[in-house]
Amino acid sequence: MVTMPADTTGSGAGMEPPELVLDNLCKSFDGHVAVDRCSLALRRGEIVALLGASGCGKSTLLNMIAGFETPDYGTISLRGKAITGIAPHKRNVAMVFQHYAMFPHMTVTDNIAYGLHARRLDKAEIRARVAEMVALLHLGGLETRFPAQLSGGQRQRVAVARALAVRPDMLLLDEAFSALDRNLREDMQLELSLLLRRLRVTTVLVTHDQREAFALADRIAIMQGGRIAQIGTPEEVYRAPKSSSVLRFLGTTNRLAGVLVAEGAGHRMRVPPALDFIAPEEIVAGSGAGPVSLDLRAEDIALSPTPTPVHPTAPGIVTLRTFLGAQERVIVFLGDAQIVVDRPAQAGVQQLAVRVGDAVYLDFDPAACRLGAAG
Amino acid sequence: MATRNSLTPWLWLAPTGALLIPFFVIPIAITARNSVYIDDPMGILVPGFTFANYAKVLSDSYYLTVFTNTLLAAGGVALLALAISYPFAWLLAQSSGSGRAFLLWAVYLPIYVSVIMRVFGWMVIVSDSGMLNQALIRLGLVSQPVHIMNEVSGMGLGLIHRYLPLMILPLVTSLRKVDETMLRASANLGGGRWFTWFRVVMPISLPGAVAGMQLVFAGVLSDYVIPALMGSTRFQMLAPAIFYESSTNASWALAGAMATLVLAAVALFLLTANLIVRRVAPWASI
Repeated sequence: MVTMPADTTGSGAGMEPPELVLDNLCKSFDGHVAVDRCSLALRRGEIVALLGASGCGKSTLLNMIAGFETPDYGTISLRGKAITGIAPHKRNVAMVFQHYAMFPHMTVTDNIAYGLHARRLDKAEIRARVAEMVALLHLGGLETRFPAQLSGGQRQRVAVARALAVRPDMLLLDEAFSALDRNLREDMQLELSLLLRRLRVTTVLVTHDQREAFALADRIAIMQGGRIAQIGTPEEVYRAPKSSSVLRFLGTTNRLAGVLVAEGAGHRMRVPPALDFIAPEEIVAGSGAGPVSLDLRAEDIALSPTPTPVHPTAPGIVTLRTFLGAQERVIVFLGDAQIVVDRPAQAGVQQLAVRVGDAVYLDFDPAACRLGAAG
Repeated sequence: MATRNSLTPWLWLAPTGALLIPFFVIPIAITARNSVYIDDPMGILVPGFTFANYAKVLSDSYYLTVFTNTLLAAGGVALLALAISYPFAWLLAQSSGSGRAFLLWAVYLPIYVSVIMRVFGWMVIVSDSGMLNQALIRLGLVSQPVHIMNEVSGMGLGLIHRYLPLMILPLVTSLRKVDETMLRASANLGGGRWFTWFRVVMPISLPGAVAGMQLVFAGVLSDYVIPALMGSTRFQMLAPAIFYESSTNASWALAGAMATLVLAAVALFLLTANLIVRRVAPWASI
């Protein structure tokens, strides 16, 4: 009996039953828990990114969907059919591997046709599908080349063509862009994002690169310590991180050591030497009074020439200003703490112009902070 | 500078050349020259130019039998060595760490032991009064010793033992190109165990298998020690026959013709095998 996990109602989930359901999956290796009670449901054509640092369990989860690992506990079903114990070659799930895993002894055509031969399709059908994939992924003219004669980008196109040629029930991408250099990676992400949406291919991708997750995914599952820490649209996980660890994982974050002090019915947050403000109850949540860590995104901080409600005394000193194109990064020393502030850098933006050596006050919305255990 | 640049490669070749020219090129040239000379009944080599020696070797049934015996033995040993090596090489290619070190050590170890010592080792095991026959008789499986030593089977045993490392090492090199993700990719695309073997493992290991068979084939074709010590007089092999022809019969010209023919056979075999590999595995030479 498959019970629908609680956190599967992604924005816009329609009436149609989910394509892929992972229910309470657990996997450990030699006593080390790699995947811990992960549940997830994808609707048809949805692209979900498993985003996390290395060792967070995202690859193990992907390998369980592909059938390369068997879960210790929990079930996987695809199109309403339980596939938990089915051998990899009997699942209609195609994967694009990190280094593409091309067959070096086969031409582009033979690589693309591999899964079609395995399915014993007739020759005319195979030829038609290979031609279709060659056209779809702009591989014309490369059909008779061997993988060693292709560039990294071309190899990735062949890997995608090889996976899509079998018309899989779903596609898995395992760090599929990490071997490409940055410009090519962004081009390929855009192209693949458009292609997968056009073909409505249900996709799970694994990445440690948040740009990649943002570029491709409808929903992002942040994985930490084998668990799905938070799942939601890119905007949701970025704008409303549930915990300081999720916040710290996305974007550039400042971590400051402070003290939470009970004051009347609420709490006051003090970060020596200068920050001092009433902590909104929604960020205090479970943390009791005492030493805490405070996480705040670089882009959520503004600079002011005069004291602000959150920074009433003892200004910080601007020690470095770096131009980053669309943004500029200002480093402010506040006591011992080095604060990173990212601000828009376009001409005409109304903000305080700063120079190295200026005394400035920080300004931010206390609700943008996340509190965590001190340390 | 220009002269130094054009001379440099030759300087690098000098040590090899100093060894190969007097000890390899010149002896072969002398052998080839001898093959067109004339054997005098007194045992003196008379200069001349005749193909009579070749005609005799290629028409006399004794010499033809020696040639076919040797080709059969070389081909058979190469095929058997391939069959025996394949699973072992696969295991070795898939292993890592200390397991891999141990398996490699097992391949290299026999090479450190002189071939004569290895033949004596086999005698202890397979001679008529050896360990194997004693065990078989004691178990009541046979009443008479099974003749292995100085039979075709004994020679085959010795040849396979001697040349197995030459088969295993190139095979391992090529099988190591089949990595775990490639096998996963095959399974992921719907390939079962046999499909994966026929479409991925076998083709990728083909150049290594051919290279190994070339080494074993050429080795057996010119092996003297094993046929002489472990072989049967009823199954004459080429190298002992050439030795007999030149030293006992003092027919240096005839022996030269036999040696030149076997050299040509080896060269032809290597060339054909290379051409076949280039044709069926063009990817290997990219």
